[in-house]
Amino acid sequence: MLEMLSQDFMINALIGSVVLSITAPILGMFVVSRRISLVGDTLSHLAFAGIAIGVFLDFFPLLTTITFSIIASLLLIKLMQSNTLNSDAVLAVFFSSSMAVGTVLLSLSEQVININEILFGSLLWITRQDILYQGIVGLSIIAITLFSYKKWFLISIDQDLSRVNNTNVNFYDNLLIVLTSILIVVSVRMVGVLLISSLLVLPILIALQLTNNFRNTIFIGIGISLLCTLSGVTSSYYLSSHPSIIPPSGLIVIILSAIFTIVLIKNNLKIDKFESNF
Amino acid sequence: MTKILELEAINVIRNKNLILENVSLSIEDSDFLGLLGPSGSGKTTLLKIMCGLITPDTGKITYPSTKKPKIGYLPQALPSLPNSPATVMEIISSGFDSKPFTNNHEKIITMAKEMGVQNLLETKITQLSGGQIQLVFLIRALIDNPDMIILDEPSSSIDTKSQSKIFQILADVNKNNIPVIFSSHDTFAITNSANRIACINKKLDYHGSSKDFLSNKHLAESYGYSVDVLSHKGHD
Repeated sequence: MLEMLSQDFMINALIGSVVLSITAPILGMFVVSRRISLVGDTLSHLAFAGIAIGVFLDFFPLLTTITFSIIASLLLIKLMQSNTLNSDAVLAVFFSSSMAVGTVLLSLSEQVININEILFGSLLWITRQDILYQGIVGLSIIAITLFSYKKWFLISIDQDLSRVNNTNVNFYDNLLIVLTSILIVVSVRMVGVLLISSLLVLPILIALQLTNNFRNTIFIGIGISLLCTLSGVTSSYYLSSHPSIIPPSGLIVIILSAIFTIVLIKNNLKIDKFESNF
Repeated sequence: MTKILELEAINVIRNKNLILENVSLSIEDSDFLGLLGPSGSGKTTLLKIMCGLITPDTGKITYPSTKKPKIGYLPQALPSLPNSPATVMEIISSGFDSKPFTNNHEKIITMAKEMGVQNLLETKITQLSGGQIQLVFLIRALIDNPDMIILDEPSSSIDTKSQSKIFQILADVNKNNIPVIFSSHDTFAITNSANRIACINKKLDYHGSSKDFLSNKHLAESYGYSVDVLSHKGHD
């Protein structure tokens, strides 16, 4: 353990894990309760296209990625709100077209890019600067959530009731999507674009099986996320040996999925037992 | 008496169908207005226009006394919340238009006691029956001292005993010059509680006192068939 903590990149990875474990379930709770869980997946694919554009243009890659992701996510939510197309069709179009744009632009780029690291993340990728960006984004998410909690909660209950209470539903939906999009971009180095949405959704799905109120679901989700992310990062360090490096994202999601399955089976057994008493 | 809301010549057309035709109606602070009419007559649309949820195609909505009043609203179709972990306490708390971090638990407990649901406050909303959910959302509509209360079929899933309790609470609120507007298919509930009745069938067929409404003519006009009104001693 001490050996692991003597490595600078591992300290960065562990700090990054803690920040991500706190912020992802906060936004994940509202994403899940708005029943737009697949939006997280689409946003992470948009981030892939954003990274590719940043690499291709070779012009402030992070700024380019964030700007592209914000614009594309606002366009995505605008189309979903307009009811011109079904939401799942909009998600499917953005999902595939962003992957297509990303793949083509990365192939055309003159820079040497390891696509595996973008798709699955890597412990070696994380720098102090990444931690700083994650910290700033994390603190902003916590502060905005404290002031938007009641509005996001009410919107998740009923949009008409929110509008009667003078809540601008579209504004708060846009805010949620933009924050999620920025969180994905600054965390993508650690967990990669393909699996980051699991960190938004899975801890909350597990917490929903264990809690009895809305607010506690977020806190339990954070606890589960911390446990799984730190275990995944630590396991990745000990299980990897050059040249085979196991990305932490895969291990984190395997641990989360295992816990989710166990909790789900346990709860269903309880229901069966309850029903058999009648 | 102060006018709170005025609707003038409201028309609503959806998919080439006329939903509301030339409806004019004013709401005063003393109004306990019952909205009656057959299914598909435009009651819900009219209530949603009053709440600001639907913009009419033509017509004018004005708030003569002040700015837009704070509305306590109970929708006809209650939110479907499968797998939601939200508790009754959290749902009712969302009715407060207060700043974040404000604790309003005492007021919620008092009102929950009045409605007989104090034991359900920490229960998940998904574990309640349809009637209990309706009561919870009714408390939510009343909790933050609204300037106007709009309820779309507030008693449709509720037992008779709770219904009379609800209408008594609404009557008490109305005594403080808070207008109450509600729709129902229950002619007895409307004539027994409301001081004014509006009968709607795309157009406003009748608008006046409950006593006048109980003539066969108005009931027959609204529902398209003759209705006999029976009076009992002690009940007008």
